[in-house]
Amino acid sequence: MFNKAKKEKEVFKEIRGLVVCADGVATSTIVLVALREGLEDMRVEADLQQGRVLDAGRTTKDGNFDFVISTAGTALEDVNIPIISGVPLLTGIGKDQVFEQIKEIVNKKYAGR
Amino acid sequence: MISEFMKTFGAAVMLPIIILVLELVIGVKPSKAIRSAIYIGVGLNGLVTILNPFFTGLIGNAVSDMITTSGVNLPYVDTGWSLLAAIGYSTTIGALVIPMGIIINIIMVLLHWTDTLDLDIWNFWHWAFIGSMVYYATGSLLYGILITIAVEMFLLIIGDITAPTMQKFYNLPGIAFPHASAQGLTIIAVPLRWLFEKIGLMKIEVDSKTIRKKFGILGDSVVVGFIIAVIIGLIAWKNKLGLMTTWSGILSLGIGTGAFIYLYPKATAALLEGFAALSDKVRDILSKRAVKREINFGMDGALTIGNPDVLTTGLLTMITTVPLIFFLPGNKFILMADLGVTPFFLASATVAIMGGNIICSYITDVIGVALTLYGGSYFSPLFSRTVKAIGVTLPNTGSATVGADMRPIHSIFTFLGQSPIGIAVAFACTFAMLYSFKKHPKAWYKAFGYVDNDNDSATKQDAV
Repeated sequence: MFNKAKKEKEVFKEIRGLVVCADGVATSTIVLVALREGLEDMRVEADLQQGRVLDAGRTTKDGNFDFVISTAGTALEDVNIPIISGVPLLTGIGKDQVFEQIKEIVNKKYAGR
Repeated sequence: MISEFMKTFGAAVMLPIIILVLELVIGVKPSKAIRSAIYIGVGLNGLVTILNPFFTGLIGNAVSDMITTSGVNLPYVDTGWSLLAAIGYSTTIGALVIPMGIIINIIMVLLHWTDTLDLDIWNFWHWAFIGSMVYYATGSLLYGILITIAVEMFLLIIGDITAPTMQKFYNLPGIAFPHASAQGLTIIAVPLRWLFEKIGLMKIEVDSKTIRKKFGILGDSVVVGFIIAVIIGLIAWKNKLGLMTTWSGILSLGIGTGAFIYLYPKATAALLEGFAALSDKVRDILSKRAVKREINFGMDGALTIGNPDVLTTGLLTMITTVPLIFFLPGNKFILMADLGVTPFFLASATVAIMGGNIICSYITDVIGVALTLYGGSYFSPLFSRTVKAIGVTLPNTGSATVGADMRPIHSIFTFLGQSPIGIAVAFACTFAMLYSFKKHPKAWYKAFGYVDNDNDSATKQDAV
């Protein structure tokens, strides 16, 4: 019984991510689609939002996000949560590392529970 | 034949079908392919759905009134790059551009004419858009296809030439930018850089962060769009400012414009989400087979926009765009939907070429926006004709017309494509550039802003 409950809890890990690019439209959409599919395979329930890199500080401030993934550089001002480069999801090279990074963030979030 | 179907079915049905066929041919899973095709239709439909009420109810009336009451002749309203992309893909050339573009790129790589493999399939739309404009201007499919090829070749070579500069400045190894908007100003930035160095402007340094902090709410394209709309309203209805309804009209126009700028990208996102299945598959096929020698992957210039110097340059230019629209002599184009896009993308290669110098980048970027305004003024009539011919139904609102945000590369090639001489010039320049670049690569890198810290002597030797 106990074991089963624990397993189910693992399945429903949730994470909130902000996907940013230059205009909040083009490359962020491609990253968003890739993330959604990849995280589905990892059995992580992802709540992903799109935005402009210019607004990243403002959006993350009161957005309760777990991480930011950016295709427009990772040196974002006023962002205090982990920032991941989304470029590997565009080129296809180093894709796995991106998901590793997110896995770590998920594990950290659920470490104490 | 495709144009006939296009006319009957409209782009919102034809474009998904074209993409669906392409996806099935290269082996995308049918369920995924169907879903993506529907999304493309939804995105295209969304664009028009958001655009129409804005155009008929709000900005169209105001712009028409502005022309009749005040004689301020700004009839062409920018509808944003999304519509340009949609038009690009909705023609015969659009149906051909992806297979054709990939084949030409591969041939050029095999011939060592380029070291860039463009994986940014979505942005093939720039080439298709230019080709489609030429096709509908001249009626010649051949001219359209030839200029599409010329643009692609030109951009791949420019991508190679700027790669060392941009890779170093943006810290993006292995990536090049054969992106028509990011490279829009490159050929103008190079002589300007030379000039700025002569007059000592390159030595003046400004900290971009301190400038940017001063922008406050003016750093938001929705706010700037609101301001432009209110100015248009004030000019249009200046004789009736005593009436309360006039003020309600002016403020509604401002809010409506802000909403348009805010919502429009959401429809574009649906369009791109539909496109993702195709571009993913093509990228996987290409990148797996490509790596036999050192190759740069071609990417969207958007990757560079997060750079603080690019953001600052873009913001300064965006604000400067407001007076430019109203005071630039001969301008007939209102930059609207792309306010928060064009100034930033034109800054992409520019800032790297200027080595991050804000003043030099800003001057170049403002020149770029001015050229874009002139491009829009000149080509918008052709654009609105093309839009209609393709079967995207847009309303007629007095003197106001849908306008195209024509960035410099788009204008130049659309212009050249319309005559055999122009096409010959486009190819001749491209090949001359290729020939000279292959002979003196280091001199070209240097002219395009590359500073080789470790090995200065080699650069000098080659530059002779």
